[in-house]
Amino acid sequence: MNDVRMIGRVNSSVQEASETILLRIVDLRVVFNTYLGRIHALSGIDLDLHRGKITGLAGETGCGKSVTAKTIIQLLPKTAMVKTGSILLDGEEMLRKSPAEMKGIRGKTIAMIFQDPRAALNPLFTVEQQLYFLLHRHEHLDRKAARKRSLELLRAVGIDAPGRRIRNYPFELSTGMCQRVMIAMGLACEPKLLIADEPTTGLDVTIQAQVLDLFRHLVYEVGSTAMLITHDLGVIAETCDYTGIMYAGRMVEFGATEDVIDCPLHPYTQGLLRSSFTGEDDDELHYIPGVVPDLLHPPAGCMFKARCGVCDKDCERAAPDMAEVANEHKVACFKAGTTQTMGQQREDVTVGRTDEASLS
Amino acid sequence: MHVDRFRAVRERTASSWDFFLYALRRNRLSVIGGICLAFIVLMGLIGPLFTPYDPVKPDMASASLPPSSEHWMGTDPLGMDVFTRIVYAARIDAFIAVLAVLGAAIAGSVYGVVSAFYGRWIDEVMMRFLDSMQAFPTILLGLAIATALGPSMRNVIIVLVVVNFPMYARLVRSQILYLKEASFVDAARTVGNSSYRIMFRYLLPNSLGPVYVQGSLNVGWSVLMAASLSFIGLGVQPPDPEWGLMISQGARQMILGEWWSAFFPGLFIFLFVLSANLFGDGLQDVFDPRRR
Amino acid sequence: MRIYFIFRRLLLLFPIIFGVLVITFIIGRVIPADPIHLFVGQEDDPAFIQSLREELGLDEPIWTQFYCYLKSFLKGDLGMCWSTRNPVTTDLGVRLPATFELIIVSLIVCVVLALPLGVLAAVKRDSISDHVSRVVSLAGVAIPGFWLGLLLIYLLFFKLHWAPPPIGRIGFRTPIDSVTGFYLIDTLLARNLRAFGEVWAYLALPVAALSLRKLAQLTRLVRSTMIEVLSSDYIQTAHSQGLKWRLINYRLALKNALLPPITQIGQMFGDLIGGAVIIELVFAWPGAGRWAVTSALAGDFAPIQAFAVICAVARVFSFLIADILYTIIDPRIRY
Repeated sequence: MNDVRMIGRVNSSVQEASETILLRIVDLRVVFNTYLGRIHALSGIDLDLHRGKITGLAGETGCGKSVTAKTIIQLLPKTAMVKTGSILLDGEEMLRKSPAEMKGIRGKTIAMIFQDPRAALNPLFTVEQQLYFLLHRHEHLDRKAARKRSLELLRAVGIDAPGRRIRNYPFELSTGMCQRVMIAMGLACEPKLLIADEPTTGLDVTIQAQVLDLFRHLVYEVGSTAMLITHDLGVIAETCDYTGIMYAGRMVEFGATEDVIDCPLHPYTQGLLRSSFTGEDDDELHYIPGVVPDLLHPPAGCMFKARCGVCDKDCERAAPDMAEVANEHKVACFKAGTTQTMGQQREDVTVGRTDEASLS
Repeated sequence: MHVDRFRAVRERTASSWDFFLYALRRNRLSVIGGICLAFIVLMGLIGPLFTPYDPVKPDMASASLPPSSEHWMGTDPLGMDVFTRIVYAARIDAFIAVLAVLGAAIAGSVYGVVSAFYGRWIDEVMMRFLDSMQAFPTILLGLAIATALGPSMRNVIIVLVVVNFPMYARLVRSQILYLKEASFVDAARTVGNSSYRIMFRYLLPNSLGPVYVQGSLNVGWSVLMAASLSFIGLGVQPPDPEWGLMISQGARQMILGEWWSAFFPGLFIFLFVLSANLFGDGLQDVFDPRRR
Repeated sequence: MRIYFIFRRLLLLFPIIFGVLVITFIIGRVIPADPIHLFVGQEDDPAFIQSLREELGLDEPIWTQFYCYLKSFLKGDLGMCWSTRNPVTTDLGVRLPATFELIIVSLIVCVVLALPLGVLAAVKRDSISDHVSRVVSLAGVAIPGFWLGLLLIYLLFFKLHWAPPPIGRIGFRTPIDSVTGFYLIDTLLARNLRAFGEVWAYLALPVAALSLRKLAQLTRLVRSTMIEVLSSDYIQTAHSQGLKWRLINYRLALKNALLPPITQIGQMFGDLIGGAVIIELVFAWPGAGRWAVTSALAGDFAPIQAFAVICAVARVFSFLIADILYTIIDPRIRY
């Protein structure tokens, strides 16, 4: 499940550990070899995670956010293959690590928490036991010390009566409490990087707010760097310092959250924001026309061109790279900057139109 | 400008041809099983035309001869050619198995339908009776019935039907309990169908899917049971050839080193049961969409 | 809490034994045309037969017969075994431990081997060893136990001289002081280690022949349950925490994969009894199974009936133990 196979050259030319950047991903390309063919899950991702900050990754289902996270922690399925790219954590190339080294890194240096906390906890073991396995493995604590530390952790995530809760099984806890336990496990070894994959999807809205608050608090307190994956822009706006928007396996926009939300440059981001924007004067439901491109046969040129309101011949010839437009605000669009306001939607875009170029 | 919302989506899903090839690749073994099964049955049917020897006439002059070009599988302690007897036994064993499974399936289905349809205490009593029956290890039940009725091929079939029918009864019953709530039953009733008709014309045919699968898996097991009973002496009686009986006749020789008269019949039992199981496994994939 | 549950389950014994008695009664007295021949064995003295007929009440109406039948059962009279001229209870007492020893050892072998094999097959899914184990499983289920026993005897005794001859539980020249009837225990109690080893040698082949089929089935089940468990979310969490392979597979995953196998292990006891009947014949094992069969062949019905009741009781207990194991393993299950 966790062997990353490499066939491209790892690009390890950018090396010095940066003061502000903890994790640097350069030109990451990942494919899945299925019986249907080769699915291009990631087609060249560049991403920098700032130390001590929370970076959000947003995009619709299937855009590659989870794949990015799983590649960092190397939990991809056997059918996955990293074609090329580089992931540098504190200057160290992660993709060169052996499986044994990665085992030591997972949970301790890089931790991950998942969606659906009820399912993510082992139903037949108590909270205490599950924390013990983790603490014993990385911090070599014995049962007594682990118990003490576990109680501290549970208190830190806001669980009342931790002495009782620690003996509970997951089915005896509420969903919100389960997610708190997951956060506690994620931060237990004070990891450098904490990845949260849709941690609040499926939780009640009120619980969502609590959990996000807690998450933010604890990440700052421990001093970790966090990557928060979600499809909900509201969550991003509330929690993240930086935001990256992904589409069809590519990064299309990145910047400080206020910049991206207040001044979106990529037509896709604009579309996303418009879709979730509850306009006071509009009663219409906005949406982005068209469907996500087929990752089995990705189109030449820009991935978004079939749905874009402002694309032209340039967009069909080549895929745009991320270019810095303003202070740390990057966007991958030839037309960025030409649409200052929330972009126009082309009236005559035909849904499902396919070009010769995309029938590769 | 026509709007085709679905073309893009349709162009992307795998064709059914792809899936068929994929399923075939996964089920290579069961196709092999089916072929092997057919081969053995064929052998039983036309094999006797190819062997010159008499399967039931002893010939003490040729007792216990090892395999040779004259006797491909050697001779048994009574001098009869092993290969010939195996071929004749294939008929008998296949016949027993098919009849047993058919009988059990029919009896069990009827039992299950009646029990499920009438429900409440009738169902309860009928199910408890099945529980008690299944509390017997099957061999014992077979032993008991065979003892009471006397050993013969006919009684082996009866034993197998009795031993196997609870399984079918339960299968059909659970299907029916599920279907009973379906609206077409109410519709049939309001139009005036009698309970009889509803049970047998509507409910039963719709519950038969798992029965087919179970039946194909059962055929192999029935041959094993029949062979076991005959081996003990409570099944097919000599001089008739039956694989299990042949093993018991050759058992003493095997311990003394003359392995062929007990080995080959067992080999055929093994092949038959294995192919039947492989084939039944494949059928399961066809009939039960959840397994895909 | 749990005591009530156990108690309720044990209460089930009554209707089940009753059902077994009804069935054996039907088989023994209702079905045959003239049931007397099932109870006389080889005797043919007409006066004796007539007196037996009266004693058994075979001329009475069915209901009276059944009532007497029940009454004698409750008194502990299980009839006579004519081939040995002993009361059934005596014969059973001597032979039952032999059968149970065989079955229990086979059960343990099955469980001890099936768990690691199934886990390995699941972890190394779609590899060569997985395919091999799949073929072996399918083959194991198809092999007739008695044929396998004979093959093993031929290969390991006749050809290779590794195994002892199939003459029963122990060699002729080894005396055993039978305290419990379980030779493994008796030899240990007598501190006779040589005899202990010899008992194992005699047990080896019958156990192998008996357990192969169930081993194949159980391994398959462990494998498929493990595969399902290994793809679950909580195992992904465990991987993301960098826990060791052995911990994940053999503790975190396996515990979750145990429930269906435990059900099957509960059923296995009954299946093993059936298999033991035949294996005892092949290996001349002096157990209750062989005794029941030889009695049946001699036309003697009472032993089968008694053995059937014992089997039913054993089955209820094995299901009960399986259910108790459930509650120990899975805290979500409460009765």
